[in-house]
Amino acid sequence: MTSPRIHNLLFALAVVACLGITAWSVAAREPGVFALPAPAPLPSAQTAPDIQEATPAKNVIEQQIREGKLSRQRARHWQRVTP
Amino acid sequence: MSANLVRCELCFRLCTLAPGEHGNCRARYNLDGELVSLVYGKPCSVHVDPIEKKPLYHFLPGSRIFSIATAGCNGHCLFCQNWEISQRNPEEVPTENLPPADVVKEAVAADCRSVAFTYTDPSVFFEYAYDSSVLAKKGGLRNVLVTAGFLNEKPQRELMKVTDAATIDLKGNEAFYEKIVLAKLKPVQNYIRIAAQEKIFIELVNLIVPTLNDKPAEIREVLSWVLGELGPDVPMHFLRFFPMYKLANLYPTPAETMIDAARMAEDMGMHYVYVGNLPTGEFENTKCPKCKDVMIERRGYRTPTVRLKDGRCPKCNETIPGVWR
Repeated sequence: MTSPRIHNLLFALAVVACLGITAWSVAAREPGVFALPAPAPLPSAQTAPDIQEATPAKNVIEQQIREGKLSRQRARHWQRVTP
Repeated sequence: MSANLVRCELCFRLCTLAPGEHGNCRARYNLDGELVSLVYGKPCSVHVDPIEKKPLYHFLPGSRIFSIATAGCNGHCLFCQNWEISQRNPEEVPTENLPPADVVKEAVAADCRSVAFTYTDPSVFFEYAYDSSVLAKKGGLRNVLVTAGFLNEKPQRELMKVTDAATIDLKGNEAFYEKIVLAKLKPVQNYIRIAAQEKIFIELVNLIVPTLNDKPAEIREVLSWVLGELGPDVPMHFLRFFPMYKLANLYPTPAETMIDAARMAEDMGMHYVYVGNLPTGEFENTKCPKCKDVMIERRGYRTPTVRLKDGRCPKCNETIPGVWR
């Protein structure tokens, strides 16, 4: 019959061995687990905002101009276009 | 095709607009056959910043700069750090009423030595930036543009007559501009050339975005152009990217990538290389390119020590480019 001291030592070794095997198996299943994640694929250009679809009703602009929230200062560097 | 069409000639996009349409920048609008600026005197961002935040390191160091922006932008960078105002219509964003005269009045009251047109791109609030700049100059202030460089030659030369300094983004190569900035590189290169011709004090900025413009060969391509066009004395800032807007899936630029880019720039011959959004010590300070003495020490946006003597190195007397007073 083993002494209590040897029994405790064997028990401790068994616990360490179990923990080691568990850690190894996790790392083996997921290689690079500590590496930086790969970036997700880039969004396509189609996800960029569509300016024309975002244009609100004209009366919203004109109302905000009347209220003084928006300006109606004549721009520079433009010209009229003849269709 | 409808009548009352207008064509904006401010930037390379040359938007043709029918009545009721915004330009690509969203800040300009066809109101019954007349092109108007929706944002003149209506900033959505007004702040007092340390000038180092622009970033401007060789221009009035340690001073305060009155910084304004309106909504809208003619760039659509997928990584935009200010997308909440740049990629919005002006009618969607809270604004305040601040006509050009009040810009100057508030800048002076806040003990600022200069005014910056920044956060979004000042190209899209051209008229407001120009009129404010004229008054700022009369009031003894300097004017700074923080810009991606999307402005055609004629308006650019006009604006630069009342501008003292510019922090200009040079974001990457042609492919990066097309795919990620949704714009073009050539107009930006022209802008930088013209700014140099107009004797504006220039500092350049390159935001390094992981996996997209961080390859050494791409950074070298950008630096080669800068060295060929402007020479080694233009201050070059590499900024660290943080996940934002449509690139929230990426990780922040690793510190090693930032340091490697800065070292490459120095090895290629650039004299004043800085790293931003990352405390590095070495690449926050200004050292003399000749004797390597550290003349200006910075900690973040603070500049506690400036040891220049009349714009020269105190040790070897080398002239250091900048506007120091």
